[in-house]
Amino acid sequence: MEIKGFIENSLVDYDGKISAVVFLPNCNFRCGFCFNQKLVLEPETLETVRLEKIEEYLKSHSDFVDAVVITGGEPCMHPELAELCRKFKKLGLFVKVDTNGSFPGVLKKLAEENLVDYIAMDIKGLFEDYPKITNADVDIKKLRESASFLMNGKIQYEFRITAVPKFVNSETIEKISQLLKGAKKVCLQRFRPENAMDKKLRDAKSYTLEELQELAEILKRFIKDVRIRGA
Amino acid sequence: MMEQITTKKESTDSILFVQTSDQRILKWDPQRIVDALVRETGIDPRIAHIIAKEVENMIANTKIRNITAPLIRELTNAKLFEYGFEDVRRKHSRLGFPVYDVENIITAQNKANANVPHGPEATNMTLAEGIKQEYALLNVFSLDVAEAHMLGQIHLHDLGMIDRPYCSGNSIEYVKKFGLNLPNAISIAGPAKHPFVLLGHLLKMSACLQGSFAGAIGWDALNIFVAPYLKGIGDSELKQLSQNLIFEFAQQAVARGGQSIFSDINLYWEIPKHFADVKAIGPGGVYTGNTYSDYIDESQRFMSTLMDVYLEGDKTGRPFFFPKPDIHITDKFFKTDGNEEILNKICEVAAVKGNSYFVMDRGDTAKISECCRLAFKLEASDLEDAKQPWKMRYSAMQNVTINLPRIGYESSRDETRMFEIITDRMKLVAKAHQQKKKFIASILNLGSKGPLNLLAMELDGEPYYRLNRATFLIGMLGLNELVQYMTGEELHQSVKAMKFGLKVIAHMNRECEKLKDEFGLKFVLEQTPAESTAYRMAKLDYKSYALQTSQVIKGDISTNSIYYTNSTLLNISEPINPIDRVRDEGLFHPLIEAGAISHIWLGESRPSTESIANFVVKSFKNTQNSQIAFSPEFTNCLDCGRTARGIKEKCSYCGSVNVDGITRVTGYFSKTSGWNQGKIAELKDRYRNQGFFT
Repeated sequence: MEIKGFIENSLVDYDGKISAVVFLPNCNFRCGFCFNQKLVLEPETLETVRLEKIEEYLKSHSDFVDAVVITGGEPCMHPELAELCRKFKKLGLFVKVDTNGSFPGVLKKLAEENLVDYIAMDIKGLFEDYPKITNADVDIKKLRESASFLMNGKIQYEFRITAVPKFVNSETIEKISQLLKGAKKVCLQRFRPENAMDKKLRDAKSYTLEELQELAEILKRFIKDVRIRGA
Repeated sequence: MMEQITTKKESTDSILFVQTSDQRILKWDPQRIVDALVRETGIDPRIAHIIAKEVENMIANTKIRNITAPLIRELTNAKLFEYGFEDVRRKHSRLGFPVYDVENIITAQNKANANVPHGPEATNMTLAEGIKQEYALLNVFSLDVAEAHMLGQIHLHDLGMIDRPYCSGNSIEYVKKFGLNLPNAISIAGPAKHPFVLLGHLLKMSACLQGSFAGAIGWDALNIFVAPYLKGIGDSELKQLSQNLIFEFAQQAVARGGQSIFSDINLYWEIPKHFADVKAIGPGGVYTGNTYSDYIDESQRFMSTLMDVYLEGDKTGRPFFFPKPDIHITDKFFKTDGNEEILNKICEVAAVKGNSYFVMDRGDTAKISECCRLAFKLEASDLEDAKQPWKMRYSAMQNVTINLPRIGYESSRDETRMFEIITDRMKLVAKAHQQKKKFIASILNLGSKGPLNLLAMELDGEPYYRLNRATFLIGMLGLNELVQYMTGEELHQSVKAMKFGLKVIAHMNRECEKLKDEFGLKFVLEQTPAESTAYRMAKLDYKSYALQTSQVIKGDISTNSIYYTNSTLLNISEPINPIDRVRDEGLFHPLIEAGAISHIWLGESRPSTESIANFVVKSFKNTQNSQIAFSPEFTNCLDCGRTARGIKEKCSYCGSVNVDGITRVTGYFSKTSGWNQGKIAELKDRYRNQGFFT
């Protein structure tokens, strides 16, 4: 497993923390709105970032950086993920993992071994729409398992919904809010069409802040902490 | 109507009208030239007669029948020039504008200051400033100082406001105690009894002060001092009061030059040590019998409500441009109950609207903050004054910026020579300050009959403007480019370059101390905001040192959109993570006593509120940085009126291209359409922490 991207610090990826972000390649989904398409489709064209360099940075910025966010791609596809988390935990850092929810087993293992402090799971739309959203064979059972693991587990978490108008509207949000009823935290992310993997989506409209706020209101009926990101 | 006057046969043998500058038509009389020359320049009357006679002959030789007094003056000056009476000619000069320029000024927008809107009031100011500027260079400053300014070696800020001090830090206690009893007022108000009236007084006092100062009007510890008026006030009234305060300041684009008052309000969550046991003044300007510590609840409620108003923004969701909230982060802040909650709210404002300025007062430091970054550090005598807080009136009389890259070019990369030139130039700046002080003192000495009578008023037994407390700012521009020129590397590129930069500023700091003793004036280093200076100096240098300048200049030479990096900032286009920026830029801050800041440009991203709070706390605890601000960008649609995040070419709501960008130009928010070319180039280059925040 090679690290294919590194952001020295972020104030958006882990609420409350100053985090560094590590990007792992490959994904089992092919979402049209994905904005990391090189990372998913042709990671070999991206330069590999040496782990030692990252560790060195984290050590020299330990007075500020308190967390590492591991994102992708789909980080849980990599068997070495646990080892990577362990390295960051050893540096005294909080670890957050972003996932699409396809690998509940990995999440459980990370949690059991205290290798993760926060998990963000994507909800890309209605589960029945997943095949056309992700252009992949999706085992919905796994997604449900991950979601339920988060909602009933001890690890801090959030669900993230990228609000692509084509898949996410007040009707679907209504249904999603039923699905996530009782969840601690849900984030609505503004869809950024510019770099979408599906070229047809690049000219698509995105929701305005006001429209996102309306969607958030629907979620708020069942979920306490609803946030809007990217708008 | 015009009355015809025939001149004497022996002078011009025909009719000659003289149109005077006070709009009269007079008969030709050469004695007027003599009188003016003797009165204005002290020249020997016999020489004046000869000059006047020659001017008369010159005019007689033409067939002109109408002549203006200004033209006669120019002809006279030409004669003085011809005979080598240079000194006399200087004194006899006429200041003003060519017709072409006046037409331009009336029709085109002034872009030297983005806080100047376009309108007759603004063009009045530009015209007036144009003349005062010329006057200042001719009459207030010595030739060497004026020349250094014109060559762009130094920049004398606000020359057009030569007859006013630069900026001020004030206390609302003065208004509470004395009401509005101002020299030029046509009616006098006693001390306010009601908070709404008090805030009205505050606003009017600010507008009056704006008329007597060139720059910012800051108010110290506003929430604390207003608190005694807020006893028992309900939440909705407090909200209205807070809205009233902010909207009134924000919408005052009707005062001097059509400008908003460049205003600052300093806010404290705690009651700082120096105000804790001070007897509180309440409604009617009388002591309430309590100390300010007893009003902490009201003070905190007021601060919190003000933050709510900032968070909402104006009717269209835009951030308020003024008044700037300067939030003091201190050791005591963290020891005061509710600090986490208020910090989150302040950071929410920072994330959503950007207004919050985080002023880091570490240890026992206490400051009054204002302007783009200026801060007055309170000394022992000031803390003594704090017992009578209305006495706490501070001012920086003038700001002069040194063009650092130029010194590099002049030294031909010789380090020893470079330090020598810095020393010389600082001495010249000290001289400029001394000259400004002399001029302002002479105006203040006119007392209640003079133009600065507001500053001369003595309601508390001493003049409002405490001349002996005035500070004099020495600013710097383009440290990054100086270092780049001298070492081949920019500040962020190597430890060696950074050390060189620190050596330069430490040298300036030391020289400042020496000059203080030598001149008996309080010189302090400041990071100049340099809104137009960064552009002006870059252009002047590119003209006279093209080869050297092009090695280090920022921006785009082909379109003449060039600039130097402000003050001691790191290259604003480099992808330097915010931690390193705040930490490394902060290394300079302890050396720059009168104010320094790090900007974190957010672009369209909106960071997590709690993460910003985390960042602020760590900046306070783990760096030496003295002020930080997070600056988002917005697009305001002129058609649908809505405001969206990020600077866009089209409105993201209605698609209109009729939009204006909004972000910080230097320290304050303004519309990007009012920016000068250099700042527009900088805006394009600004690294918005894309990788870090999106």
